[in-house]
Amino acid sequence: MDFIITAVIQGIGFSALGLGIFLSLRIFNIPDITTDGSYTLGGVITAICLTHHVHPLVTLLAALAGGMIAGTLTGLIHTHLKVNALLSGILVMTALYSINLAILGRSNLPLIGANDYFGLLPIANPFLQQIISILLFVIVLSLIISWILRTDFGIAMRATGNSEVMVRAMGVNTNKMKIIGLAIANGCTALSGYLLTQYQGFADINMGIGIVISGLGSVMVGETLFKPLVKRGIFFHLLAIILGCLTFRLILALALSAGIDPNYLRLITALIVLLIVALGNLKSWKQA
Amino acid sequence: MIEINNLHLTFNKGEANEVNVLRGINLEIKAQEFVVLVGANGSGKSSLLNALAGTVTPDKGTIKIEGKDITHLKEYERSKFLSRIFQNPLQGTAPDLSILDNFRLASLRTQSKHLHIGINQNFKDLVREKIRTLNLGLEDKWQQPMGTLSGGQRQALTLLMATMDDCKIMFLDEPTAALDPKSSAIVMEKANEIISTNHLTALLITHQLKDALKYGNRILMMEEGVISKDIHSEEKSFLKMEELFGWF
Ligand SMILES: Nc1ncnc2c1ncn2[C@@H]1O[C@H](COP(=O)(O)OP(=O)(O)OP(=O)(O)O)[C@@H](O)[C@H]1O
Ligand SMILES: [Mg+2]
Repeated sequence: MDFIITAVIQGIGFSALGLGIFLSLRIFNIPDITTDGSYTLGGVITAICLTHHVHPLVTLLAALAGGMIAGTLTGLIHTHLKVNALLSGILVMTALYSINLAILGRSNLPLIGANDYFGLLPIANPFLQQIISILLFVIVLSLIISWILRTDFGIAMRATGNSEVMVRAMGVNTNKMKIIGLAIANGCTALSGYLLTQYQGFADINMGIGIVISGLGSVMVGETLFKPLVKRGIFFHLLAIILGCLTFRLILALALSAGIDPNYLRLITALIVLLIVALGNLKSWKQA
Repeated sequence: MIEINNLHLTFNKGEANEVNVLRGINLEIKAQEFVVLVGANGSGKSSLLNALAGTVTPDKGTIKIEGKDITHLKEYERSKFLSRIFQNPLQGTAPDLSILDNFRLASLRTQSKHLHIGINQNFKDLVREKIRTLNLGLEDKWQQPMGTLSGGQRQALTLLMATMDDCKIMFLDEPTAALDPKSSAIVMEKANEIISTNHLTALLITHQLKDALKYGNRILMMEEGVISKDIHSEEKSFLKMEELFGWF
């Protein structure tokens, strides 16, 4: 039973990253590889701040800012140096590995004895404390994002990935939109790093490897399994993604509990994503 | 309204496949003139329009709108002055966004898009009333994604979207090329109506000689990057199909 609870908490914690992937996917139509680096960056900043007794909410802002800077860099490289979006993300992700190592000073930093975000909620039961505070976090985050996406600015942002020609004809600076969009997306991703680092009790330099694929998988699982929600407007669309993150973690947890070697976890992740993409393609191939 | 001076445009400059697409265009378009631009495939009509809209950068020459030199303005900055209707109905709208979102964006064409929820009941009513004037039965579909509509319906809505914000100049590049004859007729009628009731200055590219005769008050012919014929209002009304056909 414990592994289910862990999967649920992790799943909710990863939904900030899922929302980030959703944003970049809609703006670029490709997954933003920066994610691997900005997730770790969020975790690294969190570990350093908390072990230096910085307030957990100030730490939150620091992690958010770190992720937003990473996203801004990817956006600038893509729009101003005209580097392919996928490559821009890989470049920043690679550079971030060294930067994260430099910030952390070692490859793994435990948070022993530090005050954390969960501790802000005065609930005695540690399990309830964790799940309620992490749920609150994700609810507030998705409310903010769904609000942004419904504003005039948000409409322009959603349209940028959808029809660039039209959006420019509507007086929108699409380069600026992409940079801001990527900044927000990677800010969200870093917030997952913030939450998960505190949940697992340490930051690790390799914690982000391959995380972009599980984020992508979660978004796809959510949009496929909860299609009726997706059609009901932006807030429900975000809800579908959060449920996707939850489902994805549960699938992995079930696979592990069924006795699968943890070393095969990435293989399973890749196969799930492949399966969903392939099913989608086969369906449209049949229709054509 | 629009002044074009000695405009030159070359693609693939310095390479083996260099093409001089515009070779010294001089043109003045007055306010409220409705200009029809005809010419063979590849004569440079779309390139001229794209140079005016800022999609391509000319090598030489200047473009002025209402006396203001806009030659160096970016495409998104020029959209303050002009609305565009594209040949491909897919380009004028965002398919995954709702009709309402598309209209909201269009209503802010000349303004900045703030962190502010602009779609309220008033706006919804305004859009529904506007769409009703099209008589295409689309007024109750405002929540649907734009992509669920046909090309003709989308093109008609694009025309309407152009009038959601302050609009003085409209560019239409073969707006009906992808439509069946009936939808073409509806879209052209709508375009003409919107241009005249809003007193717009318009530039229409078309291969439909019937439309070229029927609409507009000035007709231009382009050949190999230059304007070879320019016929104004009264003269245009005497122009016969055979004569126009003979130009090609
Ligand atoms: N981006 C580009 N790069 C290279 N050549 C181009 C480009 N765009 C247009 N051309 C060339 O410029 C010439 C003029 O093209 P343009 O699209 O302006 O013609 P047009 O008069 O609009 O033709 P049509 O009636 O077929 O639409 C053509 O020879 C075309 O091949
Ligand atoms: Mg053309």
